Amino acid sequence: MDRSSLSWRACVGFVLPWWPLRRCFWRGAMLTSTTATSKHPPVRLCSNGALVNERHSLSSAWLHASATEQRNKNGTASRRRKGAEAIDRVLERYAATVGVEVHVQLATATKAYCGCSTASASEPNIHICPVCTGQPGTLPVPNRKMVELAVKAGLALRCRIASRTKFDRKNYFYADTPKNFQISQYDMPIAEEGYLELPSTGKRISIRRAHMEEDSAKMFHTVGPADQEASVAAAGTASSEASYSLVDHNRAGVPLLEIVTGPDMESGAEAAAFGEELQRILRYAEISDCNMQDGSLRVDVNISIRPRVADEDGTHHGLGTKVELKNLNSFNAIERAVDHEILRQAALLDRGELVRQETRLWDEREQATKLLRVKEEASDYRYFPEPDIPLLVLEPAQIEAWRAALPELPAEKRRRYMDQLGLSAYDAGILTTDPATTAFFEQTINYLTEDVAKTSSVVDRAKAAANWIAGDIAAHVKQKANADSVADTTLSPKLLAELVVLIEDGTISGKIAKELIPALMETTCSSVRALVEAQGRTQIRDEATIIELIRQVMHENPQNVQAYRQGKTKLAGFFVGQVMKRGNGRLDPVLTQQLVSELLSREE
Amino acid sequence: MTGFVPRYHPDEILEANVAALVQKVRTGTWTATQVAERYLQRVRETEPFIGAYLLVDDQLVLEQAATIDQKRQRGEPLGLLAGVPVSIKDNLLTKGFTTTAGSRLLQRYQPPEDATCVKRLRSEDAIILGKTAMDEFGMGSSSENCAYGVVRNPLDLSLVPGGSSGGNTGGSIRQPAAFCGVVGLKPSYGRVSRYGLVAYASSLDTVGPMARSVSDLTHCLTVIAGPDPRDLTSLSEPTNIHDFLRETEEALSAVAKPLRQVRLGIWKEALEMPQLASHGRQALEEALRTLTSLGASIIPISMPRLRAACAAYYVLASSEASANLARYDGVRYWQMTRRTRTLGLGAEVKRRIMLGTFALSSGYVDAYYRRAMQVRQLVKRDFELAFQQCDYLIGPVSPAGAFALGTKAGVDLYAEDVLTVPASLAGLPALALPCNPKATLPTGMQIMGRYGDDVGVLRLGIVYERVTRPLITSDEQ
Repeated sequence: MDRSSLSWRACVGFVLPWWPLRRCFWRGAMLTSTTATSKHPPVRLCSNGALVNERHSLSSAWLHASATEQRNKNGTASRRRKGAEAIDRVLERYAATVGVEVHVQLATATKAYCGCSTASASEPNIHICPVCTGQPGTLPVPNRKMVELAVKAGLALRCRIASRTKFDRKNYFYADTPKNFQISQYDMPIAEEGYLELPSTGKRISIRRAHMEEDSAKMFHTVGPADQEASVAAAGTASSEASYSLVDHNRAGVPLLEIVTGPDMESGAEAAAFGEELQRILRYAEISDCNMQDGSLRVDVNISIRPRVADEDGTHHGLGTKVELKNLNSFNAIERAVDHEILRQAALLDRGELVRQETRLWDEREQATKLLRVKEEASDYRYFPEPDIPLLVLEPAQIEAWRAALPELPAEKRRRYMDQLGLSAYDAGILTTDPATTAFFEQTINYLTEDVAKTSSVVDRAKAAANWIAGDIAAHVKQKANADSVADTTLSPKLLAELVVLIEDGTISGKIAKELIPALMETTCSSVRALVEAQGRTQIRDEATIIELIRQVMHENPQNVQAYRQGKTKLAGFFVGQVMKRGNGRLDPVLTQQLVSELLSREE
Repeated sequence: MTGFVPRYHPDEILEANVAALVQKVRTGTWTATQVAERYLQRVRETEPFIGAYLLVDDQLVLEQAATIDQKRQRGEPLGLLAGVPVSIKDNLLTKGFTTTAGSRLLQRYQPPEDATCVKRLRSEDAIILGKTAMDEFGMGSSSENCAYGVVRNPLDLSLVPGGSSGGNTGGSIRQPAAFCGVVGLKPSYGRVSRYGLVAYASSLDTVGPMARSVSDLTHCLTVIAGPDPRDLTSLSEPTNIHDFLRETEEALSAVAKPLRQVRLGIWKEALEMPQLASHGRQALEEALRTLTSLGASIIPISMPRLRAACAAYYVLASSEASANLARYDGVRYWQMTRRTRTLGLGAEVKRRIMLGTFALSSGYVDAYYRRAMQVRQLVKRDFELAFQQCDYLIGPVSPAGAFALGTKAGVDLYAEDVLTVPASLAGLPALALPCNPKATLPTGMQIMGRYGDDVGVLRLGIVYERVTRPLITSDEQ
């Protein structure tokens, strides 16, 4: 998979420059608990000495967190929370019906119907040829890889794959469409009737269909006095004309898969969760980069609401008027836009007004949907079968071969992590955030299962590795500007495995390990053991050494010793702290604690 | 304008058939340059009367000829069409020659590459003589709809030459061939690659050759036919038409009744059409007698869906055209949209775009486009049933032959295609050849074969030609 693909962090992070500074401050305050966790996670000790992030215990809440937590980090928690209450109130009276239409760019090297590159281009109109610019006499030849990826997407979404599929012409006149028709699929799509399971609730969102089509060119509209360049670009038009448009055909003919869901979602959170899980599935199966900022994942949402009363008293006459939302550039935007639209429509109905069938744009600055156009009647695309491409017959053996080639998908991974490795739902979720993190985790596990110590188990080690990845490592990645996942750092699965084993066998303490993590992620290292030995940071478990340090501290603090012995046992923490400090953090904490209690309790 | 084009004095080069010409150029008896110069001279004589060409560039022609001559001088082998002048209909892309498809809209369009068939002709050392006039985008049956002027029938300048003459969508090869007394083959759909053919109706468009004789035409088809990875609708089976026909010819010349096993179906409704000219009917009956004398048996075949087929053809062709021509919006060619489509396109093209747009529109698509698709299936089935009883179907090419310039337009003109359209809808190979070559205005006979049986249709044509026009097929000229 292309490394340029960003994880959700980077996606949402991109939105930040547009964000009012005021909200950034506010966010800092609102998110204390989350950020504090990543900087100074509360630490508790396990029997094996591994660190466990406190968030681990929140696992049961993972479900709801999964959809919203990531966005919370980026400063929208407060707004969401405020909105969420209003939404909850509205949704008591109205039922929302949300359906999603997604376009993903299939990760082929060449375009859908010609041999031009699909790579991102440094200049306009360099990845073009007579076919994708619609020149006379040219004919389309479908890309094999496009069909393969479309079938795989269909399989990953549990669809029925058509054994016979055809292409159709969708006619619409616009300057971004070189032929003024798009080669798409109409009544025989390649995949139909599948579903996607939301990781949070397990709710199934039905997939009505998925079909292949080609992207259009990109247009740049410029308003204002025509400059030099403009008059060249608009050759033939009078230079006095004030505006002009430029067309870049690099994207024209890039293969897309359009995925249409049933109207099965009921809130912005569900629509966003659907988008996130779809993105994960398609990334894991290497079907698409699914990068919202680059446009390789585009989500349009259809939404209507209807009074619940009507449902109950049987006067319900079907769904309300549908509004289409566009310009949703992040999952965050999807959630907020849908919620905003639910509120807007509810307000209209409450005032006794009607919802118009229209297309609205999400305005990120205003945090509101804005009217784009009113749909007076359905567009007439005058579909007819594409005569230049014969019926495509897919052999069952071919479909099965593609099915067999599909990797384990995130839902299956999550289930396996929980069932076989005993991970919490939360950790399983974090580890399947993006393919790079999953690969890192699985490679680490591979190293850790090579020689399982007698005292440990795969499950313990997997939990330890998962905690590191979901905790300190994730936190550090987040701080690094140029890293999307742990794979972009110097830390390797082999080193993490070594670290886990060193903690397990008591060579280093969890505290030392915690200090080592940033270093391991910033500078190349061939062996953690060599590093800690060179730095003299191995754990001290020699009782005599520890007892000597305890005696020193007791000697210097006779009042506290006395107070302890008079019943102020809370002071044990003070002594442990002082002793640990003197041991430069290298003392075995369990042993130290035990010895401190023993010595303090011993009457001398 | 009435009258006739200037006759030429007996001239070996102009009279040579393809086989003879290739042989003489290969052996050096004639240089390709000599051939090219002679043809250019003849074009200069006739063009003021006929107006068949949109572009003839002497320099481009002579450059190609010089290249062939140099190749021979270097001792390199020459191709199957060495030195043979070929004119290309202006809806086939030709690198170096402007390609307009007869439309004002493409008046300056310089194709970035050759159409596949043109590329194949060039690689076999044919000389591209020029680009021929045509009804705009192939929409017409009389060559009066060209943006650059009308074309006249070389046999009688007061008559139309037929149209649109090329990419045989509904009869544009067979009908002009019949009107002008030459032979034309609409091969099976997919036999010749459509890559580089300016699309009119993609599911019907078929590239094919016109020539003086079936034998000449076969030489051309041999070169241009064959699968093309850039056209998925091209037939994948390999074609060794040339070898196959050579063997057939040799075998045929030895047999007295070469058509002994052949069952010929006679298209009853076509022969009984009231519009069919009586001299045409007589000529066809005479041709049938000739074929019978060669051993063929004759079976009357009923194919009653004539009118429905023609209507379906116009609905389907216009529907596909409305999409195919949508790209000429001025963003990429000519001027911006409104002016482009107002001024750049002729009346007939606009009529068909509107017709097709209507036929595909929601609410009408069932009544028109889908119904036409059903008729197309019925026509295909009619042919399948017919070919259970016979091997080839014979009928006239056009109801009344060449008509006077300016006398037919609109639906009257559409009706001209009634006899050629069924084979187009079914994608069958169909050959048009003159059945009374000695008459001043010859009548065209049409031989239709099973899908893919281009060779069989040509073989029948060659047998007939050997008997009726022995000189034209002779290698000893």
